[in-house]
Order: sequence, then C-alpha cells, then structure tokens
Amino acid sequence: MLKEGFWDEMDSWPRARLDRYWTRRIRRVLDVAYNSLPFYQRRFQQVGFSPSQFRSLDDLRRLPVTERGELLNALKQAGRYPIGIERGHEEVVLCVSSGTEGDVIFLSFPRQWADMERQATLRAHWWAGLRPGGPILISAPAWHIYALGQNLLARALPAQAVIVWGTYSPEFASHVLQAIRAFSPQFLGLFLPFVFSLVAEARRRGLGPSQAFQGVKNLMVVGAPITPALRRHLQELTGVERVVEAAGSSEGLLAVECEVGQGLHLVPEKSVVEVLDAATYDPIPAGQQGAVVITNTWPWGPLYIRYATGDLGVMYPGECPCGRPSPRIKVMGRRSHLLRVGQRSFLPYDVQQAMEEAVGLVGATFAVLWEGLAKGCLHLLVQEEGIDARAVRSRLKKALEDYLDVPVKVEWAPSLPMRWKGVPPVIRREEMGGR
Amino acid sequence: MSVDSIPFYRDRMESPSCLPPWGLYDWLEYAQAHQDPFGGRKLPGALPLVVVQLEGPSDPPLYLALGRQELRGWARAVTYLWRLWGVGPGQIIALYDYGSSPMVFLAHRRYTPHLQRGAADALGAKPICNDGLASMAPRMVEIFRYLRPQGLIVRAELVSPLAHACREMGVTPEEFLSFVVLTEAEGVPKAAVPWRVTTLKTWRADAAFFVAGECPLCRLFHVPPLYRLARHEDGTLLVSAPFGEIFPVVGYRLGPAHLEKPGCPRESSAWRLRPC
Repeated sequence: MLKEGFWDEMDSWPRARLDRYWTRRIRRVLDVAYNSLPFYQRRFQQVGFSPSQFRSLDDLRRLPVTERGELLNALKQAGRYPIGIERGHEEVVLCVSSGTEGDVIFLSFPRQWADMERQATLRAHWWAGLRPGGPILISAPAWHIYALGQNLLARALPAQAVIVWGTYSPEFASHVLQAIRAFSPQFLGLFLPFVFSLVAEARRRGLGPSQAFQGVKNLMVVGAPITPALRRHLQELTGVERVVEAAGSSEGLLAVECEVGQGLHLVPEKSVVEVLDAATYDPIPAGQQGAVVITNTWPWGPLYIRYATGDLGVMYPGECPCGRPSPRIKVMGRRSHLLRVGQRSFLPYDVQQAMEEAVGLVGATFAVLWEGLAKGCLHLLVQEEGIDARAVRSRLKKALEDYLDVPVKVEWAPSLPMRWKGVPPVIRREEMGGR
Repeated sequence: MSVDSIPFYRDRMESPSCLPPWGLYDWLEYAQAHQDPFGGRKLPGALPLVVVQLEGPSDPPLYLALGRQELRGWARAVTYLWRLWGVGPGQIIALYDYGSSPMVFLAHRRYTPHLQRGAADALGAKPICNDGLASMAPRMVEIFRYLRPQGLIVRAELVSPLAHACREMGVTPEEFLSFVVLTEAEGVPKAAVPWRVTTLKTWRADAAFFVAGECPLCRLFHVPPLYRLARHEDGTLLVSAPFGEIFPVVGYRLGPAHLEKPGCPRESSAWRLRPC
C-alpha cells in the first residue's frame, strides 16, 4: 500500500537502496561516455579516469566539473552541433535551452530518452499534486523540454491536452486566462512571473485574481525560488490550496516539493545532484549555499556528467519527514544573477526575503539597477502595480539598509520591462525606456 | 457521420439537404451567441484528446477539438506538404512559429500528446523549433549557425526580424537552406524573403484543419488528397475535411481561388489552387 502522495514503491525505498540504484545507473552512464562520447573520452583521459574506478557516488569526485562555458566553447570550436556528449540517433527531437544568458545550448532527445522522461515527469507531477481526470494546459512552447515532458505526461495519464495560442509571455496572458476559465484544469504548472501576468490580466478584466484560478487545486511554479511568505501570498491571491515549487533545467535537473514543503526532492530518474563550493567545486556541508552540479542517471540523449548548471543552491540536511529517500535541494538563483554590492553579494531571492521580513512587502516585482551596482549601491526598481506602495514607501529604504547592511536606494516604477521569463534581475537605465 | 448531430451545422441547415457554406465569422458569431468555446462544432458528448485555441483576436477565443482522426488527418496533410517540399530522412527542419501553430504541433509526435505520427516522424527528419516571438530571432540565428537546417518553416511576420538578426550576426542562410516556407493561420501570406532561396507558401484555414502548400515546380498550391473541394454557386471554393470525426468540417469558405486540374509532374494526382 503506497503512502498518500507517493508515486510508486521507489518513494519508500531506504536511502541506501536509492544510492545503490544511482550508483548502478551512473556506472552505465560513465561506461557509455568512456566508450562512445568523444567529449568525455578526452576529458576522462586528461584526469586518468576509467569507469572501473567508480564504485560509489563519492567517486564522482574523481571527475572534473564541466561548466556551461566549456560546452559552449566546444560548440564554437566544432562550428556544428552535436559536440560529442550525445547518445542516440533514432527519432531525434532537437531542442534549445532558453538562452536567457545569451548563448543557447542544443539538446537532442532520441526515442530511448522518452522512456525515462515519461517516468520522471509522471513522478514529478504526481508529487506536485497532479491526478488523472482533468485537462492539462500545455504550459510551455514546443521548443522547450518541458513541453516534451508535458506531452509524455498527457499520453501516459492519459489526459486531455489544451494548447493555447501563442506563448507564455505576458502579452498572451489573456489567451491563457481564458483557456483556464474555459477548461478548468485542477493542476497548473507555470513560470512564477506568469502567475502575476495572469493576476494582472484578471484584474484588467474586472475579475478577482482567485476567479482566474477557479477550480485549480495545485499550482506548480517554476523558474524562481519562492519564500514561505510568497507561497502564502500566492495561496491567498489565487485561492489555490497548494502552491508547489519545482526546479528544472534542460540539462536534466528536476526537483519538486513534497507535501511537507521543506525543500525540493530530486526526481531520481533524471540526475544526481551535488552542491559544491562555488569557487573550488570542493564538497561543502549540507545547508551551505554552493554551485549546483548534476550528473545524469540515464544513458540516452545528451549526457551531462558533473555539469555545473549555473545555479546556486542549498542541499537540505537529514531526511524529509515525508519519508521519500530522495535528497532535497533549494535552487536559490542563477550564479550570473549574483548582485555584488561592495564586499557583499546577494541573489534576488535574498532581496525578496529582505523586503518581506523587513517591511512585510510580499510579491513585489522588482529589479536592480545596473548603474547602482556599479556605484556600490543596491538601487532597487520596484513596480508599483499591484502593491500598496504607500504602506511601505517611507520605510523600505531604511529597513533594507538595516537588513542587508549595504547602501540602498528605492525607486518606484509604474512598470518594469518584461522578458520571456519575467522581469530580468538586473536592468540598465536605458532599458527602462523614457525614464 | 451526419452533420445533423452537430449543433452548428444543424442550426444552419435551410433544409435537410441544404447546408449553407460558412466562414470564420459565422462560427465566431455562433460561438458568442451560444457561449460555447467550440462554437457548436463538437460532436455532443465527445471528449477531445487535444484542444487547440485558434489563433486570432476573438474574445473569447474559439477552440478546435481534435480526436484521434482529426490529429491523424491534419498531420497527414502537413506530412504531404513536407514531402512535396522535398523533405527526406536525416534532414533538419527548423520551425520558427508558436508551438500552437499546426505547422509546429503536427511536425513531431513529441510535440503533441496523442499524436501518433507527425510529419518529421513520417519522413525521418529532425525538427527544431524556436518560439514565435520576434525577440527570439537571435536564437533562430544560433540554430542556423550550428545546425545548418535544410528547410525553414517560418511565421510570415517573423521574416523581417529574422533577416535583420541574420545580417547583424553574420549568418547567410543561402549557404545551407534549400527552401523557406512562409506560413500564417488564415490564407496565403504576402511576405517575401530577402535570401536567394526557394521560397514557398502555405494556404491555411486552421478553423477547417485545412492546409495546402505551394509546389516548388508548378508554383500552385497542391491540395493534399485528404480534403474535398467544391465550387459554390457564388464562385467561392469550399473545403470539407472528411477525416473529422468529433469536429467535422463541411463546406468551409476558402475564399476566391481557381481550382486547377491535376497535372504537375511533382505530384501528378494533386488538385491545385491558384489564389485570385
């Protein structure tokens, strides 16, 4: 008998069994890489590694960490994709990463990749509260790996799929909102900024935000970490019972919160994750923030072995009260979004948390002015729309300076420029247009 | 299946044997009057596998209901066009349009739940899709640079930003593209491409699951043999899609067009359309 919320028996395994499972699978991945993938053959040779040296997960440390820049260099040098990390050529679908940091990463997914992806996506969505019966709003455009996963999910459940015209950028919020109201899905997976686009669109139409989400029981948000206060705010705003955080990357990170909501469990079919010192890639204790490094556990498609995703995260110590053996992580933000002010550095998540804890400002859309950082000041641009600025206007600057211990300037803006993934964390003055 | 059971058609029938042709605005009007997202066109009680929000400014939007037969039939029509354009095994075909365009979601079974075989699956080609926003043009150029696709199917309004991005980023599509197809949701696009590459167009009517494609040889629009065409007494060309099972298409006004008899060496049995 499975515990409520568990996907299968694997969710009840002891941790040692999960480690054995991962060890077996990674050994296979390393064998494939060693025997047939040129990029890794060179890399393994450089450090004198052979898969026979891999006996436990700790042996991953024998391998060097690969950074995104190294793969991009390999692509530039080759001048053509693929770059020698890909396995499988049957029924290939090619994808791109979102390219929010400028360069895109290509991925090729063969038929054999789909078996794993289906299982992983089912488990992740089950944890997040999706159950058979309702329609699934295909909430990612076809080019994105999440769309491929949702497709597998809808086939496997099976569920009706609703494809909304356009894409998940703010200008299409009206179309998505109307599809939600017409087909009443019980589960929604959305980029966090898009939730606010839907709320704004609902208000524009004279609807209460909770009317936009009527019937939705589980809302899975991805793309940015949420604070406990933001979770409560989202629940109150949308009227959705359960707001679940998930994190993922095209390269194979997938983690989802369980019912307990203390960290995101790794979905074991996809990757093993290490959180390492961001400068040296040495091991660090659980609970300490560091670089997120993944190793895929399925030997088909593009293989990422000890790959630094570019994220900063925290591994949770100990076992989760829910009983699932899979380790828990919280992805705090992109490394490239680290805001350096004098000797201190923050992620947008830290600023968000500071706003909440210092003055109770929850759910504010904000960005940091690049020119401010250049002068050693945390110059915040805070969007006025949707918040009661009067309540905090006079207190915010002082409270943040006390909380973060850096010079702060606060500027209120009627709106901030949106990108596909929401407002960028750092904006140059020229991007503000006419201000 | 008789269309008597479909509210939209039943209510329009002037007599048991006379079903007037219809167009997008007739459907929209019916949908608004009846507050039905499917505008009365879905077989009552049928559960669609896939629901597609129709492109366009209608508020509330209209939806197409696709069962297994609609998915299969429409995808076979798209496959017919890819074959007409010369797509073969191993070729990389770049798609620059929203994932909600049938030119994208019918391209591969991995793009759409419950689709058994998309055009790329049928022909052994490899699709790569870029989102249909103009701001994504630089990413399309990166796709060009590193994948060198043989074909490009592009939303017509994106040609200009794409050409600009190619110039800015120093990529010359003529070096690898064999053909470019311009597409938009309704009718034949007017745009042109600034590259010396075979440029073709689609003739689409998404509301009727209809798609025809310009032939690189005769330059007329070949109609996949899945559709039935008829000439209405007012001269308009009407299309029906007999593959529709839960969302039938009967007598949709395609607009003014000349219908040319088969005879193109590229596909000798195809009826062809010439826009007026």
